[in-house]
This record gives sequence, structure tokens and C-alpha cells, in this order.
Amino acid sequence: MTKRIWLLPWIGFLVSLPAAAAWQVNLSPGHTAIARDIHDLHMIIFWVCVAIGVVVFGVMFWSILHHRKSKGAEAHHFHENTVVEILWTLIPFGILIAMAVPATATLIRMYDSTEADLDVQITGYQWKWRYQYLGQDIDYFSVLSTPREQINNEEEKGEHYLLEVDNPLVLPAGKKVRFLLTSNDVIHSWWVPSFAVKKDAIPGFVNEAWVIPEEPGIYRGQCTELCGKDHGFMPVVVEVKPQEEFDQWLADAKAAAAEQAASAEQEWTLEQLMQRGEQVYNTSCAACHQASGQGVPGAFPALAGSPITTGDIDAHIDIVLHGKAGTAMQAFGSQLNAVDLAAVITFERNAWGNDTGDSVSPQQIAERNQ
Amino acid sequence: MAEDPQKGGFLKTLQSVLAAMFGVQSEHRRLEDFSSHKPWRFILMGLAVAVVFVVLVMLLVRWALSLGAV
Repeated sequence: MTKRIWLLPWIGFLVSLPAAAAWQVNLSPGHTAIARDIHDLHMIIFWVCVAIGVVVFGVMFWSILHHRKSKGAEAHHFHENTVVEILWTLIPFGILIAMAVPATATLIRMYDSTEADLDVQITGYQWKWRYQYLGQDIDYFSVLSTPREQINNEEEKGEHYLLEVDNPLVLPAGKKVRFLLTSNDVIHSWWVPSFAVKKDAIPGFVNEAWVIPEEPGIYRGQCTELCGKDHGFMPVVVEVKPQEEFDQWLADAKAAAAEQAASAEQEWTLEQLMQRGEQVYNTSCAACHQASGQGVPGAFPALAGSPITTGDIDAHIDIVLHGKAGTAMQAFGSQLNAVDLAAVITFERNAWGNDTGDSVSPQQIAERNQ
Repeated sequence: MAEDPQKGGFLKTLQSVLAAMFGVQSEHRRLEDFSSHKPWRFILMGLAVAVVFVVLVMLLVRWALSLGAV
């Protein structure tokens, strides 16, 4: 009896199988026509495989049991059987063709990105997404908004931990949206499971995908191509709105862009810049240089007391605008607007005891960012 | 082994090449083919069938795409 103890883990495994269905091991059915097609294909092919498995193993076990030695079975000795060989080639061939026909039909539809109502260029950055609505003058970055405290286990993790961003991609329901995917640095991959869209974003290369979102709502996904340190910290969030609300959002976004341009002209006080700069720092800089400004020794330099943040202002502005070749320091000149750049540089020059008292204006940034 | 210095013939060579591409050949025909001293007829037929196969696949893809494009 005690020798049967090795069975226990297996029994435990079999008992846990029904529970597995509850934690969604299967492909999700998704929320678009294509996603449902893919799910159906997946299920059809799964059941074909199950049927083949049952037949093959059924015949095998039946043969083993009924032709066993104790029943006096004698092996046949023969070298070849052309008829059987032809059959076991033709039957899988037929099954594969039968599965390929619906799969090809779906693939052809997935690749047909023509006649789109809206074009959005998606660019992967380490580690954020940039969305540009082509022909609409709307261009923004979408950055993880989960607070650092949650990531560092200093706070309770939220419901959408690591799956939330500051500015989601906003799309109209019921319209065909074409995505043009590329990357600014390394290979990323833009994935929204509910849309069954998963496409690599490759530098110097433009990939296409499309979606017709059906139901308004929020859809979440992730980068699915290991792209460096913060690969798990650049989620995709898509907000689908009804057409009228989308039009309203589009108008608001354009107005906000115009206001942004105007705000670069106005005067900013040191306090205003510091306040805004801290927010910008936390979303764009703190991942490497840390909220404490101490950096990570050996990897990312400290900004507190650094010769750059306490020295020449123009040198400081230049490194933020243009990055530093050969390091992880990116060129933020194209990623942040003039006000945010002015604010974050002002913040870095006055936070963590740097106390230079320097205030950088958006106009100064604009001049050096020519 | 029935030694027959047969000429082979176009159809027989084609049959052998098709059987090779399909992956199933009877032992009898295999011995017959390997007793031949003219490998070139198999090589040339193999190349020709490969070209025909590629063209067929291309036509099949075109046909499938023409069905898909609504």
C-alpha cells in the first residue's frame, strides 16, 4: 500500500483540473469579430486534436490489451504495407487541409487593413507607447500610471496594477481603425487580447494591424516582446467610446494641444514649475534616476548633487533634450513638450538639496530645441 | 532481384519521383529503380517535378487570395 504513495500528486493534479477552467487557462473569446473567429478556430482545432488523440490512443491501448503475450498473441513479421503507409499519409494531409481552409480565410481577413476610417501610428519607446492620430494633429505618450509605492510594495496594489496608464489610446466604437506600428529603439510588441491584435513594433519598419472595436469600454494589454528593464511596465490601455463621445474627445484633445502651445508662451513661477516638474519627473525620469534622485549606483547616475544638475544650465537642458549616446538616457526633446521640459529641469535643479534657485522657462527650451 | 536493364520510360520515372515526394514506395519498385544505372533521369525528373510543385503552390496561393479579397 505504501508504495502507492507516488500516486498522490497525480490524484491531486486530476482533482485540480476542473479548477483550472475557472482561472482562464483557455484563450479568451475576445470582443471583436476577428477575435471570436480566432477563438472558434482555436476550439475547432483543439477538438480535432482531442478526437485524433482519442482515436490513436484508443487503438493503441486496445491493441496492447487484446494482443498481449499472455493471451498467446504472435507478432506478424512483415517489412512494408504500402496501402497502410499511403493511408497514414493521406489522412493527416486531409485533416491539415481541412484545418487550413478556415484558418487561411481568417488570416486573409486579419491582413486586410484597407478602407480604414482612422489611422493611428503606434511607436514603442523604452518604456512607453506613443500614439499619433494621423491627419488629426494629435500626438501623445501613454505612460504607466501605477504609483511607484505600489511597485515597491509600500502600498496595497490596486485593481489594475501595472495595467493602467495616464493617457489611454482612445478609439471610436464600430469604426475600422488601422494601426501602423513601429519603434524608436528596440523591438516591442503591441498586444490587446480582447481585440486579438498582437503586432511587433520594429525600429525602421512599419507593421500594420486593424481593429473594429464593438463595445465601448476599457481594454487592457501589455508589451509582449522583452524590451529591457521596464518591459513589464509599459501596458497598453485602449478606451473605446461611442462615436459622439469620441468626436468630443478629439475636439477636446485638439483644444488641449492648442492650450499647451499657448502655455509655452506664458510666464511660469518657480513654484508652478516645481509642482509640475515633480509630476513629470515621476512619470518620465524616476524609473531610472529614482524618486530620491539618487539613481542606481553603477547603472543610472544620481541627480542629487550631480555636476550636470548643479552646473551649467544649457548643458543640463541639452542632455535632457538630446539624451546621451551609448547610455539609457533618452532624447526627451521629442517626447515632452516645452513646458514639461522646463518644469522637469527646474525641478531637478532645485530638488534633493540641489537648491540652485534656477528657473528654466519654456521659451529657453524652445530656443535650444531647434 | 530480377535484373532487367530496362529503359525506364517517362511514366515509370515520373511515378518513382512522385512516390519519392509523397514518401511511400513499394520495396519491389525501389529495388527496380536502384538497379538502374542511369541516375540522371531521376535527377532531371525530380527537378522538373519540384518546379511544377512550386508553380502549383504559387497558383494555389493566388487563388486563395483572390477568394479572400472581397
